[in-house]
Amino acid sequence: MELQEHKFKVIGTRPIRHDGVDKVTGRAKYGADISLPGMLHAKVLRSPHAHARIKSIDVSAALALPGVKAVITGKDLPELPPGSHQMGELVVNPRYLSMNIMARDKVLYDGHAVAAVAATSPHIAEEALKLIKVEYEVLPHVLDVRKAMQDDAPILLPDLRTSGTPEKSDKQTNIASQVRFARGDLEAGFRAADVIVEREFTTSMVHQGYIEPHNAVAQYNADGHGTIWVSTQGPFSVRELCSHILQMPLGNIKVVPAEIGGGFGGKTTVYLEPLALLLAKKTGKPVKMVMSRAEVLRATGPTSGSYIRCKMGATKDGKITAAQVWMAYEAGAFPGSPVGAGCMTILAPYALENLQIDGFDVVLNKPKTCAYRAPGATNAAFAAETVIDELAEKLGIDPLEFRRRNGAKEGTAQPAGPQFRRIGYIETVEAIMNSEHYKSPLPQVDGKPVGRGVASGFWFNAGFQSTAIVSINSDGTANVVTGSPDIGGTRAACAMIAAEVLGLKAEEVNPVVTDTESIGHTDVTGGSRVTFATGYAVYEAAQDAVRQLKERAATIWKVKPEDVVYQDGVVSCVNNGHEPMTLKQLAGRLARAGGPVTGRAAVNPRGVGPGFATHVVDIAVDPETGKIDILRYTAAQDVGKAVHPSYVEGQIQGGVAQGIGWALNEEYYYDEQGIMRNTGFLDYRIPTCLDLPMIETILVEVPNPGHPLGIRGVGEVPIVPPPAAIANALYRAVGIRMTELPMSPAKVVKAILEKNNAQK
Amino acid sequence: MANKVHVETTLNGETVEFLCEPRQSLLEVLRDILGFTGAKEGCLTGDCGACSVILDGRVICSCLVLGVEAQGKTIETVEGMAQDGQLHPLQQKFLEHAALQCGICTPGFLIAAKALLDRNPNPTEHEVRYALAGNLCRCTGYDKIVRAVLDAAAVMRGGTHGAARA
Amino acid sequence: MQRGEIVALVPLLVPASARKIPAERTAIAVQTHMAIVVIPALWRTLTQGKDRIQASGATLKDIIDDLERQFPGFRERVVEQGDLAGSIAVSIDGEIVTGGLSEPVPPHSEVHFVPAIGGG
Repeated sequence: MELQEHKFKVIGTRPIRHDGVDKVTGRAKYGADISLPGMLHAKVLRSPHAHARIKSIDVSAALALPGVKAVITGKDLPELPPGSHQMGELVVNPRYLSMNIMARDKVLYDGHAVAAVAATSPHIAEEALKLIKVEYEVLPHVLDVRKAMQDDAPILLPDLRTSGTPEKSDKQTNIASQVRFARGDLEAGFRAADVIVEREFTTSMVHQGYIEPHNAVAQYNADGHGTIWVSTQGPFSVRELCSHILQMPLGNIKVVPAEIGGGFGGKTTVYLEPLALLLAKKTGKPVKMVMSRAEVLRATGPTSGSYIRCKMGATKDGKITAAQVWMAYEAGAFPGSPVGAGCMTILAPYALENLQIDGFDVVLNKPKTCAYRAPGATNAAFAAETVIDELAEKLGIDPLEFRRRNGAKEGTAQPAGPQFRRIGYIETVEAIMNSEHYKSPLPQVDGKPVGRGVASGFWFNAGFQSTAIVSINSDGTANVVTGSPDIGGTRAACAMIAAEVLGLKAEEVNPVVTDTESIGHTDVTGGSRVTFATGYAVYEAAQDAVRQLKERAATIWKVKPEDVVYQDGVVSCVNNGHEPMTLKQLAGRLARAGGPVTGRAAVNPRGVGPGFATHVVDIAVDPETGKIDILRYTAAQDVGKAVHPSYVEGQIQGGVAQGIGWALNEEYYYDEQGIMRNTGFLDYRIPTCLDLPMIETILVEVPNPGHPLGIRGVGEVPIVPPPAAIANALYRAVGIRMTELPMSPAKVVKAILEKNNAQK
Repeated sequence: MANKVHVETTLNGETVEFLCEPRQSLLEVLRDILGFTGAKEGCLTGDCGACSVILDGRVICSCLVLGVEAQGKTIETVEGMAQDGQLHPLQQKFLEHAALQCGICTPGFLIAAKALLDRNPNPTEHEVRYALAGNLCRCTGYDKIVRAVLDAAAVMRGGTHGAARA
Repeated sequence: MQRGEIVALVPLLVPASARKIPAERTAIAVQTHMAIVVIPALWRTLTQGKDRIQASGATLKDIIDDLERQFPGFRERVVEQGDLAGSIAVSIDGEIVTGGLSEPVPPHSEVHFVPAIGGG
């Protein structure tokens, strides 16, 4: 049954999301809301040192405390063989992951888990932590990514060798891997340039900042089967990772996704789940674990701080002739920074013949990084989009026009090599050029310089595996079952897609997110993949249901299924020999026509459509305090096909807000001992509603030819441009190029004073 | 084992009593003893507002108040906002404006917004942002939340409540 | 206060099968089942600095076998435990493919080995 876009009845509308009432009445159950009879509470003891050898752990006093039922340390987890493999979106090294979840012979960062206690109350568990005696031999630590690359840096992982290099090396190192993208003739490119700009940038480690801390409730049965209730982006990932870490059969672990209070990539891995399951096994009782905010910041998976050197050349008429980038990303205590993505996204919006991009993944004494919304891209864009702005300025070309002249199109080779298919980058540039915001004069603010900046961004988006079931209820409504936790409204999008195919209203479809035993394998909610891939599965499952409905009608009418037409929720017969039936009428007759109708589909789709965005921001700076106010912000993005426009706008606005926090305030602040000092929301300062204006969104729809409904992922691109856009606006306000993130007030004031002094 | 204290309080208009240890916060009491899990734990240091409830007419962070302090007081939580099967206009407008994505901060925002509109029925955008600055949201960028609150305020001033089901 | 503005472009859906082959590539890959493989920069020491190599084969496995014949040492960079290495993704004519070593490689296509990327 072909869907024609101009006749969409449901897709593109804004129904109330199906889980909405539960969420506004406090009824929705998140992981920490779950309680089971006889449940114990567990807490984790964490390292107070950035780098130390564990000489001994004495848990006897903790075990003796009344109410304590079990204590575990690294010794209680199985030892795993070395090596990585791909699990859906993630490339995982289970041995390192297990070492991260609970230290073995060394602690590698402030907050690294050392032991866990299960007790009858969370307060008793916390008291018990204080009774665990750990003897540490403190080791030198390293917190700076370039210092960690030096030959004399303290070594974190003695068996780590750099991978990806032309020749294998047997040297102990903190450089986990190296990657390079190169084509054309760099030297010729720079020779051909009329203007060359080269700058160095540093960005700080930042956290996804979800308001809900990590949680897990686990139960272990005597038959060796375990169940975990958890707020996660990926129940199937949790199952697989726990299976590896605990060496339990995969099919013995059931993961039930609770509602999730934000993830942004940080909840695609495991921290508490294996510990909770292990403690449940030891105690024979359900065990609940919830992290404190300090634990979330110290010991989950922030994204990399980085050092980036970017050099670009362009001709008088504004064509980029060469680009050279060198970047080192913090992996944290174990390998796996998103430096590869940083290299592949930097400059992706532009057509370049001559380029060389070098990237290094470096371990150091900070928490192991995890994905954060377009991982690696924001750091990279901060560097490249600032340099591009400077090139445009030196050449006297409008920064949007400069981008348009060099803009990537269908057929342009990405920095990594492959050619783009149909994309909408230039459309986003033009959308901003033609926007009311860009055409309006800069607002004036008393006593404060103001400036306007623009920047662009790119993210690949992902496909990966999803399964969906669409079943028809006897009253003609339908259920859609998937395994994709709903963070931002995807449950509604799935219902809308099924409704469109079936000819129902959105309210007539019940979307359900279910556990790992009730649906086929589904990869994480993340990577901007759910509406694309799970939506694809829902679309196919709904088509399968339609095919079965036609068969049922054919049985009733005693005709061939090929003679049955299904359109807009009505079945009719081509030769008009039979009275058409509505879906409701047919649904009531299924039992005698062959049985229930359940459509199903499982996909691992290709045809992923990448996303591009261009943003414009107006800021004001207080020259005495260095505080930057965001006056106005407009984001244009190629969104493919917006299934539920409100939630697409929401993704853009949320990503922009995170990007603004990344630009202005957020950073991991470590002292000389390598201890994180801002472990709460007071000092790890994310934007409040007083810090932001309304965020205008322009949804540019260039359909993705790889998807039956033209869908592209939308969730990640929005976080990529803001820091560069704000830096470019600041330059136009006070004539200073900030090359360090965050551009916090103290740094801005210092830069302004230095500039004023230099001018004297 | 600490001695438990007997506390009697009014919760969403009903008299309730419970036993709690002196060290347990009001948030812990609401969630783990009384089973009202609408108020959420986000930081336990009063910085995020996810645990917001109204105590004797004032918005407070229930993570910063002890359970025993509820003795003789009146508490309103998000669970009490819908009345007789009808959503409160704030709840209805949050849904219409898509003012929530993951929803974890939503109960806290609804409570803080209700407290604002109870004392200031006609706030400006700036006043709304100022009143809600103690509630952190990481998903929405606040745009749709502020629109929803302003729209609900208009509905409440107009005297008509939006159609709803609870 | 304005709502998000939706600018709809290109209202007709383009079939997924649409694919253009630049003339330059057909000129190079004149035999059937010849593909162009773009070699990642750090592996070009294996290929004497060449970045674009012709390789023959109907599947990715065949292509890799041919590359190993031409440049010994190539296979161990992309194959681990009999499967495509987890840290590597393969793009054929601009599309990340999902079939691993059995993925068919159409004649005249352009093959890239890129780092596997996950999102957040």
